[in-house]
Amino acid sequence: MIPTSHYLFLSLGVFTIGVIGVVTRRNVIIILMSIELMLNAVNINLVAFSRLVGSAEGHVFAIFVITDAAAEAAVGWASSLRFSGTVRHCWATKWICSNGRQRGLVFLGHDAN
Amino acid sequence: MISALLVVTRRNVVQSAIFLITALLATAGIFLQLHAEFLFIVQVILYAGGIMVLFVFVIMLINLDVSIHQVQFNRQWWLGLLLALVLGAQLILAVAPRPIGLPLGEPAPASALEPSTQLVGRVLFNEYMLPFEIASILLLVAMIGAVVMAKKKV
Repeated sequence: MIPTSHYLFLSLGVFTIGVIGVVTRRNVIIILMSIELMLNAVNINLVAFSRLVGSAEGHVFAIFVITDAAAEAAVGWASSLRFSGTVRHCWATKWICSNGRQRGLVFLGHDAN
Repeated sequence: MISALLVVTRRNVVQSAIFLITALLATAGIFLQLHAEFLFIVQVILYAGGIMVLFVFVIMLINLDVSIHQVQFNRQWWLGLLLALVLGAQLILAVAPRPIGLPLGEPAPASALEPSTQLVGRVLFNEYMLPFEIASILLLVAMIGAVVMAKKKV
């Protein structure tokens, strides 16, 4: 029988990786994937606590979280496709989607803005 | 299992998508370990089936040749480190011995969740009926929004 704290450690690890991915990476695709990772960590936590308590409500909330993840993925990918149609590459620089014209300035680690 | 997840945020786009599939399937295995069979099935079908197909399609649609040569990380690594430290401190507080931490005792017996899918359905349609309907409306809104946003491009 695996104790609940191990699930908490695993979930925290996955969530931290997701947070670091969202904050650190500049590619919008990888940022969306990191958000999916964070939602998965939340699901692991919910199911682990539901196992601890012995009720099925955590499962229900995990189902809602999966539903929201699906909706978020659809909207996020649609918007990223939209941006990629006009800007061709969408880079998130300091929480702002930087314009494609500044792309030439972003090299050797120097940020354009 | 966490070793597959560690690689996810490290490599380039297609490789990280593949590792993300691995991570999602590992999460499905953990659900199975926790006696959540319905969530296991939902995770495999919805995530590994649906969302990952969406990911791979968009990655194929967006041209990748230019983006590999660009800078992959921004200058916010200190913010990521700070957030990781804060989350780790919270976890250490949570699993600390009893007067500080959570009351993490022995788990309930496995028979408490025995007909798992039946139990989930009963709770979902009795006590959580209204959130269920709201979730369906959310999905409808997301679908319409995605179609509108993808259509304006033309």
